[in-house]
Amino acid sequence: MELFSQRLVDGLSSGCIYAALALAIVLVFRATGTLNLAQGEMAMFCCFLIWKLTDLGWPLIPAILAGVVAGFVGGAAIERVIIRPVEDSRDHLPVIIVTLGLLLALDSLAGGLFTVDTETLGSPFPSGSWHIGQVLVPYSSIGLFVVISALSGLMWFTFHRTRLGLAMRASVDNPESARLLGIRRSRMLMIGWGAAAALGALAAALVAPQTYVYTGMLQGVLLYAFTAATLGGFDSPAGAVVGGLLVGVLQTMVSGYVGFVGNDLSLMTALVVIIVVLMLKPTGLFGRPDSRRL
Amino acid sequence: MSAPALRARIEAAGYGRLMVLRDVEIHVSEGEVVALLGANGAGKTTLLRAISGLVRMRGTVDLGSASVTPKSPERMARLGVGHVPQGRGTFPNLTVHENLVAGAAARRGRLDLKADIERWTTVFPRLAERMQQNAGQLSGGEQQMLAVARALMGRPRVLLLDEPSLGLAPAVVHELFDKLAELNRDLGTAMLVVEQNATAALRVAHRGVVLEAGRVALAGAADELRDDQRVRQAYLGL
Ligand SMILES: Nc1ncnc2c1ncn2[C@@H]1O[C@H](COP(=O)(O)OP(=O)(O)O)[C@@H](O)[C@H]1O
Ligand SMILES: [Mg+2]
Repeated sequence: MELFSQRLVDGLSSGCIYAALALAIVLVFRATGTLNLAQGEMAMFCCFLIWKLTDLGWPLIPAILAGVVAGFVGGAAIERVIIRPVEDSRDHLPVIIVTLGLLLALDSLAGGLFTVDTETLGSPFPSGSWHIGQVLVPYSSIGLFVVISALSGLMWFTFHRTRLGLAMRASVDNPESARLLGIRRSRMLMIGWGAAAALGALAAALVAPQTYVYTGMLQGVLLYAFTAATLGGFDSPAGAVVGGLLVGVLQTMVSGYVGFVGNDLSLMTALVVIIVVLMLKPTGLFGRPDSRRL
Repeated sequence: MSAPALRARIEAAGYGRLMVLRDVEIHVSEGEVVALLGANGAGKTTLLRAISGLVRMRGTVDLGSASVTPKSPERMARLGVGHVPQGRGTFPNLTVHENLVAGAAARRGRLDLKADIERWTTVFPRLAERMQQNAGQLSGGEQQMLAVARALMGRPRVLLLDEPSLGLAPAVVHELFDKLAELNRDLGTAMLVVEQNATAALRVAHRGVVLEAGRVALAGAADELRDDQRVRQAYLGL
Protein backbone atom coordinates (compact mmCIF):
# COMPACT_ATOMS: atom_id res chain seq x y z
CA MET A 1 0.00 0.00 0.00
CA GLU A 2 2.82 2.36 0.92
CA LEU A 3 4.65 1.52 -2.25
CA PHE A 4 1.49 2.16 -4.20
CA SER A 5 0.95 5.53 -2.49
CA GLN A 6 4.53 6.55 -3.13
CA ARG A 7 4.22 5.55 -6.77
CA LEU A 8 1.01 7.53 -6.99
CA VAL A 9 2.77 10.62 -5.63
CA ASP A 10 5.75 10.08 -7.93
CA GLY A 11 3.38 9.71 -10.85
CA LEU A 12 1.53 12.89 -9.97
CA SER A 13 4.88 14.69 -9.63
CA SER A 14 6.03 13.81 -13.10
CA GLY A 15 2.46 14.40 -14.25
CA CYS A 16 2.81 18.02 -13.17
CA ILE A 17 5.79 18.35 -15.48
CA TYR A 18 3.84 16.98 -18.43
CA ALA A 19 0.89 19.16 -17.56
CA ALA A 20 3.04 22.29 -17.53
CA LEU A 21 4.14 21.76 -21.10
CA ALA A 22 0.73 20.49 -22.19
CA LEU A 23 -0.67 23.86 -21.11
CA ALA A 24 1.67 25.61 -23.53
CA ILE A 25 0.58 23.25 -26.32
CA VAL A 26 -3.08 23.96 -25.58
CA LEU A 27 -2.37 27.69 -25.49
CA VAL A 28 -0.86 27.73 -28.96
CA PHE A 29 -3.65 25.54 -30.27
CA ARG A 30 -6.38 27.74 -28.84
CA ALA A 31 -4.75 30.96 -29.92
CA THR A 32 -3.58 30.01 -33.40
CA GLY A 33 -5.39 26.80 -34.34
CA THR A 34 -2.17 24.96 -35.06
CA LEU A 35 0.46 22.87 -33.32
CA ASN A 36 3.97 23.94 -32.51
CA LEU A 37 6.30 20.96 -32.62
CA ALA A 38 9.16 23.20 -31.47
CA GLN A 39 7.34 24.06 -28.25
CA GLY A 40 9.78 22.03 -26.16
CA GLU A 41 12.87 23.36 -27.91
CA MET A 42 11.73 26.96 -27.51
CA ALA A 43 11.22 26.30 -23.81
CA MET A 44 14.59 24.58 -23.57
CA PHE A 45 16.24 27.56 -25.24
CA CYS A 46 14.70 29.95 -22.73
CA CYS A 47 15.73 27.65 -19.92
CA PHE A 48 19.33 27.84 -21.10
CA LEU A 49 19.01 31.61 -21.06
CA ILE A 50 17.77 31.47 -17.48
CA TRP A 51 20.62 29.16 -16.54
CA LYS A 52 23.10 31.52 -18.23
CA LEU A 53 21.79 34.47 -16.23
CA THR A 54 22.10 32.58 -12.94
CA ASP A 55 25.57 31.54 -14.07
CA LEU A 56 26.36 35.24 -14.48
CA GLY A 57 25.27 35.82 -10.90
CA TRP A 58 21.57 36.73 -11.23
CA PRO A 59 19.29 35.47 -8.45
CA LEU A 60 16.96 32.68 -9.62
CA ILE A 61 13.57 34.45 -9.58
CA PRO A 62 14.65 37.52 -11.60
CA ALA A 63 16.43 35.18 -14.01
CA ILE A 64 13.22 33.18 -14.50
CA LEU A 65 11.21 36.34 -15.04
CA ALA A 66 13.73 37.56 -17.59
CA GLY A 67 13.53 34.19 -19.33
CA VAL A 68 9.75 34.39 -19.44
CA VAL A 69 9.86 37.88 -20.94
CA ALA A 70 12.49 36.75 -23.44
CA GLY A 71 10.22 33.82 -24.25
CA PHE A 72 7.33 36.15 -25.03
CA VAL A 73 9.42 38.43 -27.22
CA GLY A 74 11.15 35.50 -28.93
CA GLY A 75 7.87 33.65 -29.51
CA ALA A 76 6.23 36.72 -31.00
CA ALA A 77 9.31 37.36 -33.17
CA ILE A 78 9.36 33.77 -34.40
CA GLU A 79 5.70 34.05 -35.39
CA ARG A 80 6.29 37.33 -37.19
CA VAL A 81 9.44 36.31 -39.06
CA ILE A 82 9.31 32.55 -39.57
CA ILE A 83 5.68 31.45 -39.24
CA ARG A 84 3.86 34.39 -40.86
CA PRO A 85 5.18 33.77 -44.38
CA VAL A 86 3.74 30.24 -44.42
CA GLU A 87 0.63 31.08 -42.38
CA ASP A 88 -2.51 29.95 -44.17
CA SER A 89 -5.79 29.79 -42.30
CA ARG A 90 -7.01 26.88 -44.42
CA ASP A 91 -3.95 24.66 -44.44
CA HIS A 92 -1.98 24.11 -41.23
CA LEU A 93 0.52 21.63 -42.61
CA PRO A 94 3.12 24.19 -43.80
CA VAL A 95 3.21 25.79 -40.36
CA ILE A 96 3.62 22.44 -38.64
CA ILE A 97 6.47 21.52 -41.00
CA VAL A 98 8.19 24.85 -40.34
CA THR A 99 7.94 24.28 -36.59
CA LEU A 100 9.67 20.96 -37.18
CA GLY A 101 12.53 22.83 -38.87
CA LEU A 102 12.56 25.29 -36.01
CA LEU A 103 12.92 22.40 -33.59
CA LEU A 104 16.10 21.20 -35.30
CA ALA A 105 17.50 24.71 -35.66
CA LEU A 106 16.97 25.63 -32.01
CA ASP A 107 18.50 22.36 -30.94
CA SER A 108 21.82 23.02 -32.63
CA LEU A 109 21.70 26.75 -31.91
CA ALA A 110 21.36 26.11 -28.19
CA GLY A 111 24.26 23.70 -28.29
CA GLY A 112 26.44 26.23 -30.11
CA LEU A 113 25.37 29.29 -28.18
CA PHE A 114 25.32 27.88 -24.67
CA THR A 115 26.82 24.48 -24.08
CA VAL A 116 26.37 20.85 -25.03
CA ASP A 117 27.01 19.87 -21.42
CA THR A 118 24.38 19.12 -18.83
CA GLU A 119 23.88 21.93 -16.35
CA THR A 120 21.86 22.28 -13.17
CA LEU A 121 19.33 24.91 -12.24
CA GLY A 122 18.10 25.53 -8.71
CA SER A 123 14.47 25.26 -7.69
CA PRO A 124 12.40 28.28 -6.67
CA PHE A 125 10.55 25.99 -4.27
CA PRO A 126 11.89 24.92 -0.87
CA SER A 127 13.76 21.61 -0.88
CA GLY A 128 12.65 18.69 1.22
CA SER A 129 9.43 16.78 1.38
CA TRP A 130 6.22 16.61 3.23
CA HIS A 131 5.98 13.29 5.09
CA ILE A 132 2.63 11.59 5.11
CA GLY A 133 3.37 8.40 7.02
CA GLN A 134 6.12 6.78 4.97
CA VAL A 135 5.13 8.57 1.79
CA LEU A 136 7.24 11.53 0.69
CA VAL A 137 5.65 14.39 -1.20
CA PRO A 138 8.36 16.76 -2.46
CA TYR A 139 7.62 20.43 -1.82
CA SER A 140 8.75 21.17 -5.35
CA SER A 141 5.95 18.98 -6.72
CA ILE A 142 3.39 20.72 -4.55
CA GLY A 143 4.73 24.08 -5.72
CA LEU A 144 4.62 22.99 -9.36
CA PHE A 145 1.06 21.74 -8.96
CA VAL A 146 -0.06 25.04 -7.45
CA VAL A 147 1.59 27.01 -10.24
CA ILE A 148 0.15 24.96 -13.10
CA SER A 149 -3.32 24.96 -11.55
CA ALA A 150 -3.17 28.73 -11.29
CA LEU A 151 -1.90 29.04 -14.88
CA SER A 152 -4.64 26.74 -16.11
CA GLY A 153 -7.25 28.87 -14.37
CA LEU A 154 -5.71 32.05 -15.73
CA MET A 155 -5.75 30.64 -19.24
CA TRP A 156 -9.39 29.62 -18.99
CA PHE A 157 -10.26 33.05 -17.64
CA THR A 158 -8.40 34.83 -20.42
CA PHE A 159 -9.99 32.78 -23.19
CA HIS A 160 -13.53 32.88 -21.83
CA ARG A 161 -13.84 36.09 -19.85
CA THR A 162 -11.74 38.72 -21.61
CA ARG A 163 -12.14 40.54 -24.92
CA LEU A 164 -8.61 39.54 -25.94
CA GLY A 165 -9.40 35.86 -25.39
CA LEU A 166 -12.66 36.13 -27.30
CA ALA A 167 -10.87 37.84 -30.17
CA MET A 168 -8.32 35.00 -30.24
CA ARG A 169 -10.97 32.30 -30.31
CA ALA A 170 -12.99 34.13 -32.95
CA SER A 171 -9.87 34.55 -35.03
CA VAL A 172 -9.23 30.78 -34.96
CA ASP A 173 -12.87 29.85 -35.54
CA ASN A 174 -13.34 31.96 -38.66
CA PRO A 175 -10.29 34.04 -39.58
CA GLU A 176 -11.94 36.01 -42.36
CA SER A 177 -15.04 36.95 -40.38
CA ALA A 178 -12.85 38.00 -37.49
CA ARG A 179 -10.92 40.35 -39.74
CA LEU A 180 -14.16 41.79 -41.15
CA LEU A 181 -15.13 42.70 -37.60
CA GLY A 182 -11.85 44.52 -37.09
CA ILE A 183 -10.03 41.83 -35.11
CA ARG A 184 -6.35 42.07 -36.00
CA ARG A 185 -5.64 38.45 -36.71
CA SER A 186 -1.92 38.89 -37.16
CA ARG A 187 -1.69 40.54 -33.77
CA MET A 188 -3.67 37.68 -32.20
CA LEU A 189 -1.25 35.15 -33.69
CA MET A 190 1.75 37.06 -32.40
CA ILE A 191 0.33 37.36 -28.91
CA GLY A 192 -0.63 33.67 -28.94
CA TRP A 193 2.86 32.54 -29.89
CA GLY A 194 4.46 34.94 -27.44
CA ALA A 195 2.27 33.85 -24.55
CA ALA A 196 2.79 30.17 -25.30
CA ALA A 197 6.56 30.62 -25.45
CA ALA A 198 6.50 32.55 -22.18
CA LEU A 199 4.47 29.78 -20.57
CA GLY A 200 6.88 27.21 -21.99
CA ALA A 201 9.85 29.11 -20.55
CA LEU A 202 8.25 29.13 -17.12
CA ALA A 203 7.37 25.45 -17.37
CA ALA A 204 10.93 24.56 -18.38
CA ALA A 205 12.45 26.56 -15.54
CA LEU A 206 10.19 24.87 -13.02
CA VAL A 207 10.92 21.35 -14.22
CA ALA A 208 14.65 21.95 -14.83
CA PRO A 209 15.68 21.01 -11.26
CA GLN A 210 14.44 17.47 -12.05
CA THR A 211 15.33 17.16 -15.73
CA TYR A 212 18.59 19.17 -15.60
CA VAL A 213 19.39 21.66 -18.32
CA TYR A 214 20.59 20.23 -21.63
CA THR A 215 19.46 20.45 -25.23
CA GLY A 216 17.38 17.31 -24.99
CA MET A 217 15.89 18.14 -21.60
CA LEU A 218 12.30 18.27 -22.80
CA GLN A 219 12.34 15.82 -25.67
CA GLY A 220 10.88 12.94 -23.70
CA VAL A 221 8.69 15.26 -21.69
CA LEU A 222 7.19 16.80 -24.82
CA LEU A 223 5.91 13.46 -26.04
CA TYR A 224 4.13 12.86 -22.76
CA ALA A 225 2.88 16.44 -22.84
CA PHE A 226 1.33 15.83 -26.26
CA THR A 227 -0.21 12.65 -24.87
CA ALA A 228 -1.57 14.69 -21.97
CA ALA A 229 -3.01 17.35 -24.27
CA THR A 230 -4.60 14.67 -26.45
CA LEU A 231 -6.03 12.93 -23.43
CA GLY A 232 -7.44 16.15 -22.00
CA GLY A 233 -8.71 17.46 -25.30
CA PHE A 234 -6.56 19.91 -27.19
CA ASP A 235 -8.65 22.95 -26.38
CA SER A 236 -9.03 22.60 -22.62
CA PRO A 237 -6.56 24.05 -20.06
CA ALA A 238 -8.13 21.99 -17.27
CA GLY A 239 -7.95 18.96 -19.53
CA ALA A 240 -4.23 19.55 -20.02
CA VAL A 241 -3.64 19.44 -16.26
CA VAL A 242 -5.80 16.39 -15.64
CA GLY A 243 -4.37 14.71 -18.74
CA GLY A 244 -0.82 15.42 -17.54
CA LEU A 245 -1.48 13.95 -14.11
CA LEU A 246 -3.15 10.86 -15.60
CA VAL A 247 -0.26 10.25 -17.97
CA GLY A 248 2.24 10.66 -15.13
CA VAL A 249 0.42 8.21 -12.89
CA LEU A 250 -0.17 5.75 -15.72
CA GLN A 251 3.49 5.82 -16.70
CA THR A 252 4.73 5.27 -13.14
CA MET A 253 2.24 2.52 -12.41
CA VAL A 254 2.85 0.67 -15.64
CA SER A 255 6.61 0.74 -15.36
CA GLY A 256 6.37 -0.09 -11.67
CA TYR A 257 3.92 -2.97 -11.77
CA VAL A 258 4.09 -4.42 -15.23
CA GLY A 259 7.49 -6.07 -15.08
CA PHE A 260 8.43 -6.27 -18.72
CA VAL A 261 7.52 -2.68 -19.55
CA GLY A 262 10.21 -0.95 -17.51
CA ASN A 263 11.32 2.55 -18.36
CA ASP A 264 12.15 1.98 -21.98
CA LEU A 265 8.74 0.84 -23.02
CA SER A 266 6.82 3.54 -21.15
CA LEU A 267 6.84 5.70 -24.29
CA MET A 268 4.92 2.87 -25.91
CA THR A 269 2.36 3.14 -23.13
CA ALA A 270 1.92 6.80 -24.00
CA LEU A 271 1.32 5.91 -27.62
CA VAL A 272 -1.18 3.22 -26.73
CA VAL A 273 -3.04 5.70 -24.51
CA ILE A 274 -3.26 8.24 -27.34
CA ILE A 275 -4.64 5.65 -29.73
CA VAL A 276 -7.18 4.25 -27.28
CA VAL A 277 -8.44 7.72 -26.26
CA LEU A 278 -8.77 8.88 -29.84
CA MET A 279 -10.70 5.75 -30.69
CA LEU A 280 -13.11 6.07 -27.78
CA LYS A 281 -13.46 9.85 -27.60
CA PRO A 282 -11.90 11.74 -30.48
CA THR A 283 -12.22 15.11 -28.72
CA GLY A 284 -10.34 13.96 -25.60
CA LEU A 285 -11.77 13.82 -22.10
CA PHE A 286 -12.49 17.53 -21.76
CA GLY A 287 -12.51 18.65 -25.39
CA ARG A 288 -15.66 19.96 -26.96
CA PRO A 289 -16.76 18.73 -30.36
CA ASP A 290 -16.58 21.17 -33.23
CA SER A 291 -20.00 22.78 -33.67
CA ARG A 292 -19.47 23.39 -37.36
CA ARG A 293 -22.25 21.87 -39.41
CA LEU A 294 -20.90 19.84 -42.25
CA MET B 1 -26.92 67.25 -50.49
CA SER B 2 -24.82 65.50 -47.85
CA ALA B 3 -21.96 63.18 -48.77
CA PRO B 4 -23.07 59.60 -49.42
CA ALA B 5 -22.49 57.02 -46.70
CA LEU B 6 -20.39 55.06 -49.16
CA ARG B 7 -18.93 55.81 -52.54
CA ALA B 8 -16.65 53.31 -54.27
CA ARG B 9 -14.75 54.06 -57.44
CA ILE B 10 -13.08 50.87 -58.54
CA GLU B 11 -10.75 51.15 -61.51
CA ALA B 12 -9.83 47.49 -61.28
CA ALA B 13 -10.18 44.63 -58.84
CA GLY B 14 -9.54 40.92 -59.09
CA TYR B 15 -7.53 37.89 -58.14
CA GLY B 16 -3.91 37.79 -59.19
CA ARG B 17 -3.91 38.46 -62.93
CA LEU B 18 -7.64 37.84 -63.32
CA MET B 19 -9.39 41.22 -63.41
CA VAL B 20 -13.00 40.81 -62.36
CA LEU B 21 -14.16 44.43 -62.03
CA ARG B 22 -13.35 47.30 -64.38
CA ASP B 23 -14.39 50.92 -63.86
CA VAL B 24 -17.22 50.27 -61.49
CA GLU B 25 -18.66 53.17 -59.56
CA ILE B 26 -21.32 52.73 -56.95
CA HIS B 27 -22.65 54.82 -54.09
CA VAL B 28 -25.10 54.44 -51.24
CA SER B 29 -26.62 57.59 -49.77
CA GLU B 30 -27.25 58.03 -46.06
CA GLY B 31 -30.31 56.02 -45.09
CA GLU B 32 -30.53 54.32 -48.46
CA VAL B 33 -30.83 50.64 -49.37
CA VAL B 34 -29.24 49.71 -52.69
CA ALA B 35 -29.72 46.27 -54.25
CA LEU B 36 -26.73 44.98 -56.21
CA LEU B 37 -28.05 42.44 -58.71
CA GLY B 38 -26.57 40.29 -61.42
CA ALA B 39 -26.03 36.75 -62.58
CA ASN B 40 -23.78 34.25 -60.87
CA GLY B 41 -20.15 35.20 -61.50
CA ALA B 42 -20.92 38.83 -62.41
CA GLY B 43 -18.56 40.06 -59.70
CA LYS B 44 -20.96 41.07 -56.91
CA THR B 45 -19.05 39.31 -54.14
CA THR B 46 -15.79 40.63 -55.52
CA LEU B 47 -17.17 44.17 -55.36
CA LEU B 48 -18.10 43.86 -51.68
CA ARG B 49 -14.80 42.21 -50.87
CA ALA B 50 -12.88 44.97 -52.63
CA ILE B 51 -14.69 47.59 -50.55
CA SER B 52 -13.83 45.65 -47.38
CA GLY B 53 -10.17 45.26 -48.25
CA LEU B 54 -10.32 41.48 -48.74
CA VAL B 55 -9.65 41.70 -52.48
CA ARG B 56 -6.94 43.89 -53.92
CA MET B 57 -8.24 46.82 -55.91
CA ARG B 58 -7.15 50.01 -57.60
CA GLY B 59 -9.34 53.01 -56.87
CA THR B 60 -10.84 54.74 -53.85
CA VAL B 61 -13.54 54.18 -51.30
CA ASP B 62 -15.10 57.20 -49.57
CA LEU B 63 -16.80 56.77 -46.24
CA GLY B 64 -18.20 60.04 -45.03
CA SER B 65 -15.15 62.31 -45.00
CA ALA B 66 -12.53 59.54 -45.21
CA SER B 67 -11.18 58.53 -48.61
CA VAL B 68 -9.00 55.45 -48.80
CA THR B 69 -7.80 52.63 -50.98
CA PRO B 70 -8.83 49.59 -48.95
CA LYS B 71 -5.85 47.50 -47.89
CA SER B 72 -7.01 45.54 -44.87
CA PRO B 73 -10.45 44.49 -43.62
CA GLU B 74 -9.44 45.40 -40.06
CA ARG B 75 -8.96 49.00 -41.13
CA MET B 76 -12.17 49.16 -43.15
CA ALA B 77 -14.13 47.78 -40.20
CA ARG B 78 -12.77 50.63 -38.09
CA LEU B 79 -13.81 53.13 -40.77
CA GLY B 80 -17.39 51.92 -40.45
CA VAL B 81 -17.86 49.14 -43.00
CA GLY B 82 -19.98 46.29 -41.70
CA HIS B 83 -19.78 43.22 -43.93
CA VAL B 84 -22.03 40.17 -43.65
CA PRO B 85 -20.19 37.74 -45.92
CA GLN B 86 -21.70 35.27 -48.34
CA GLY B 87 -22.41 32.07 -46.38
CA ARG B 88 -22.99 34.10 -43.17
CA GLY B 89 -19.54 33.59 -41.63
CA THR B 90 -20.65 33.16 -38.03
CA PHE B 91 -18.25 31.71 -35.46
CA PRO B 92 -19.64 28.17 -35.13
CA ASN B 93 -17.81 27.27 -31.91
CA LEU B 94 -18.63 30.51 -30.13
CA THR B 95 -21.96 31.03 -28.41
CA VAL B 96 -24.52 33.42 -29.88
CA HIS B 97 -23.68 35.84 -27.09
CA GLU B 98 -19.94 35.61 -27.82
CA ASN B 99 -20.59 36.12 -31.53
CA LEU B 100 -22.41 39.34 -30.71
CA VAL B 101 -19.69 40.59 -28.35
CA ALA B 102 -17.06 39.85 -31.00
CA GLY B 103 -19.07 42.07 -33.34
CA ALA B 104 -18.03 45.07 -31.26
CA ALA B 105 -14.31 44.26 -31.55
CA ALA B 106 -13.51 47.35 -33.59
CA ARG B 107 -15.07 49.74 -31.11
CA ARG B 108 -12.81 51.46 -28.62
CA GLY B 109 -13.07 52.38 -24.96
CA ARG B 110 -15.54 51.30 -22.32
CA LEU B 111 -18.57 49.88 -24.04
CA ASP B 112 -22.06 49.24 -22.82
CA LEU B 113 -22.45 46.05 -24.81
CA LYS B 114 -25.45 44.91 -22.77
CA ALA B 115 -27.59 47.70 -24.18
CA ASP B 116 -26.51 46.93 -27.75
CA ILE B 117 -27.08 43.22 -27.34
CA GLU B 118 -30.51 43.82 -25.90
CA ARG B 119 -31.36 46.11 -28.76
CA TRP B 120 -30.51 43.58 -31.47
CA THR B 121 -32.06 40.66 -29.67
CA THR B 122 -35.26 42.68 -29.50
CA VAL B 123 -35.12 43.01 -33.27
CA PHE B 124 -34.23 39.31 -33.63
CA PRO B 125 -36.06 37.62 -30.73
CA ARG B 126 -35.08 34.16 -31.94
CA LEU B 127 -31.47 34.95 -31.00
CA ALA B 128 -32.46 35.91 -27.47
CA GLU B 129 -33.64 32.36 -26.81
CA ARG B 130 -30.36 30.88 -27.96
CA MET B 131 -27.76 33.15 -26.36
CA GLN B 132 -25.74 30.34 -24.75
CA GLN B 133 -25.92 27.93 -27.69
CA ASN B 134 -23.05 27.59 -30.11
CA ALA B 135 -23.76 29.43 -33.33
CA GLY B 136 -23.01 26.28 -35.31
CA GLN B 137 -26.14 24.70 -33.91
CA LEU B 138 -28.51 27.38 -35.20
CA SER B 139 -30.63 26.98 -38.30
CA GLY B 140 -29.57 28.74 -41.50
CA GLY B 141 -32.05 31.57 -41.01
CA GLU B 142 -31.03 32.08 -37.40
CA GLN B 143 -27.36 32.16 -38.39
CA GLN B 144 -28.10 34.79 -41.02
CA MET B 145 -29.88 36.93 -38.44
CA LEU B 146 -26.97 36.42 -36.05
CA ALA B 147 -24.55 37.52 -38.77
CA VAL B 148 -26.58 40.71 -39.33
CA ALA B 149 -26.91 41.43 -35.61
CA ARG B 150 -23.20 40.79 -35.14
CA ALA B 151 -22.31 43.28 -37.86
CA LEU B 152 -24.65 45.85 -36.29
CA MET B 153 -22.81 45.47 -32.96
CA GLY B 154 -19.96 47.32 -34.64
CA ARG B 155 -22.25 50.31 -35.31
CA PRO B 156 -21.33 50.43 -39.00
CA ARG B 157 -21.80 53.48 -41.15
CA VAL B 158 -22.79 51.23 -44.01
CA LEU B 159 -23.81 47.57 -43.99
CA LEU B 160 -22.76 45.28 -46.84
CA LEU B 161 -24.82 42.10 -47.14
CA ASP B 162 -23.78 39.32 -49.51
CA GLU B 163 -26.69 37.12 -50.61
CA PRO B 164 -28.44 36.97 -47.24
CA SER B 165 -31.23 34.84 -48.79
CA LEU B 166 -28.88 32.07 -49.89
CA GLY B 167 -30.12 28.65 -48.80
CA LEU B 168 -33.08 29.98 -46.85
CA ALA B 169 -36.71 28.91 -47.22
CA PRO B 170 -38.96 31.53 -48.90
CA ALA B 171 -40.81 32.35 -45.67
CA VAL B 172 -37.52 32.93 -43.87
CA VAL B 173 -36.26 35.12 -46.71
CA HIS B 174 -39.42 37.19 -46.38
CA GLU B 175 -38.95 37.57 -42.63
CA LEU B 176 -35.29 38.50 -43.02
CA PHE B 177 -35.94 41.21 -45.60
CA ASP B 178 -38.75 42.60 -43.45
CA LYS B 179 -36.22 42.93 -40.64
CA LEU B 180 -33.72 44.65 -42.92
CA ALA B 181 -36.38 47.11 -44.06
CA GLU B 182 -37.33 47.72 -40.42
CA LEU B 183 -33.69 48.35 -39.44
CA ASN B 184 -33.28 50.78 -42.31
CA ARG B 185 -36.49 52.60 -41.48
CA ASP B 186 -35.90 52.86 -37.74
CA LEU B 187 -32.16 53.46 -37.63
CA GLY B 188 -31.45 54.83 -41.07
CA THR B 189 -28.65 52.29 -41.60
CA ALA B 190 -27.35 52.52 -45.16
CA MET B 191 -27.19 49.12 -46.85
CA LEU B 192 -25.73 47.60 -49.99
CA VAL B 193 -27.45 44.26 -50.51
CA VAL B 194 -26.14 41.73 -53.01
CA GLU B 195 -28.86 39.39 -54.20
CA GLN B 196 -29.70 36.80 -56.80
CA ASN B 197 -33.21 36.88 -55.43
CA ALA B 198 -34.08 40.14 -57.19
CA THR B 199 -37.72 40.11 -56.16
CA ALA B 200 -36.88 39.98 -52.48
CA ALA B 201 -34.17 42.62 -52.75
CA LEU B 202 -36.11 45.11 -54.87
CA ARG B 203 -39.02 44.88 -52.46
CA VAL B 204 -36.99 46.67 -49.77
CA ALA B 205 -34.40 48.58 -51.82
CA HIS B 206 -34.68 52.21 -52.93
CA ARG B 207 -32.38 51.75 -55.89
CA GLY B 208 -30.97 48.86 -57.84
CA VAL B 209 -27.69 48.39 -59.69
CA VAL B 210 -27.21 45.52 -62.13
CA LEU B 211 -23.72 44.16 -62.60
CA GLU B 212 -22.84 42.24 -65.73
CA ALA B 213 -19.43 40.71 -66.37
CA GLY B 214 -17.70 43.10 -64.01
CA ARG B 215 -19.35 46.32 -65.19
CA VAL B 216 -22.43 48.27 -64.23
CA ALA B 217 -24.98 47.38 -66.92
CA LEU B 218 -27.93 49.25 -65.53
CA ALA B 219 -28.94 51.35 -62.55
CA GLY B 220 -32.19 52.96 -61.47
CA ALA B 221 -34.94 53.30 -58.93
CA ALA B 222 -36.08 49.99 -57.51
CA ASP B 223 -39.67 50.24 -58.71
CA GLU B 224 -38.59 51.19 -62.23
CA LEU B 225 -36.31 48.17 -62.45
CA ARG B 226 -39.03 45.99 -61.05
CA ASP B 227 -41.60 47.13 -63.60
CA ASP B 228 -39.40 47.37 -66.71
CA GLN B 229 -40.35 44.35 -68.83
CA ARG B 230 -37.07 44.40 -70.75
CA VAL B 231 -35.00 44.53 -67.57
CA ARG B 232 -36.99 41.74 -66.00
CA GLN B 233 -36.26 39.39 -68.86
CA ALA B 234 -32.69 40.33 -69.64
CA TYR B 235 -31.24 40.77 -66.18
CA LEU B 236 -33.51 39.57 -63.46
CA GLY B 237 -34.76 36.32 -64.88
CA LEU B 238 -38.29 37.09 -63.77
N1 LIG C 1 -10.90 33.51 -54.92
C1 LIG C 1 -11.00 33.63 -56.26
N2 LIG C 1 -9.94 33.40 -57.04
C2 LIG C 1 -10.02 33.52 -58.37
N3 LIG C 1 -11.13 33.86 -59.04
C3 LIG C 1 -12.24 34.11 -58.33
C4 LIG C 1 -12.24 34.02 -56.89
N4 LIG C 1 -13.47 34.32 -56.45
C5 LIG C 1 -14.22 34.59 -57.56
N5 LIG C 1 -13.48 34.48 -58.66
C6 LIG C 1 -13.96 34.74 -60.03
O1 LIG C 1 -14.40 36.07 -60.11
C7 LIG C 1 -15.58 36.16 -60.86
C8 LIG C 1 -16.66 36.88 -60.08
O2 LIG C 1 -16.98 36.10 -58.93
P1 LIG C 1 -17.90 36.65 -57.77
O3 LIG C 1 -17.48 38.01 -57.41
O4 LIG C 1 -17.90 35.62 -56.70
O5 LIG C 1 -19.33 36.68 -58.50
P2 LIG C 1 -20.79 36.77 -57.89
O6 LIG C 1 -20.68 37.05 -56.44
O7 LIG C 1 -21.44 37.86 -58.65
O8 LIG C 1 -21.44 35.45 -58.15
C9 LIG C 1 -15.96 34.76 -61.29
O9 LIG C 1 -15.53 34.55 -62.61
C10 LIG C 1 -15.19 33.90 -60.34
O10 LIG C 1 -14.82 32.68 -60.97
MG1 LIG D 1 -21.33 35.96 -54.77
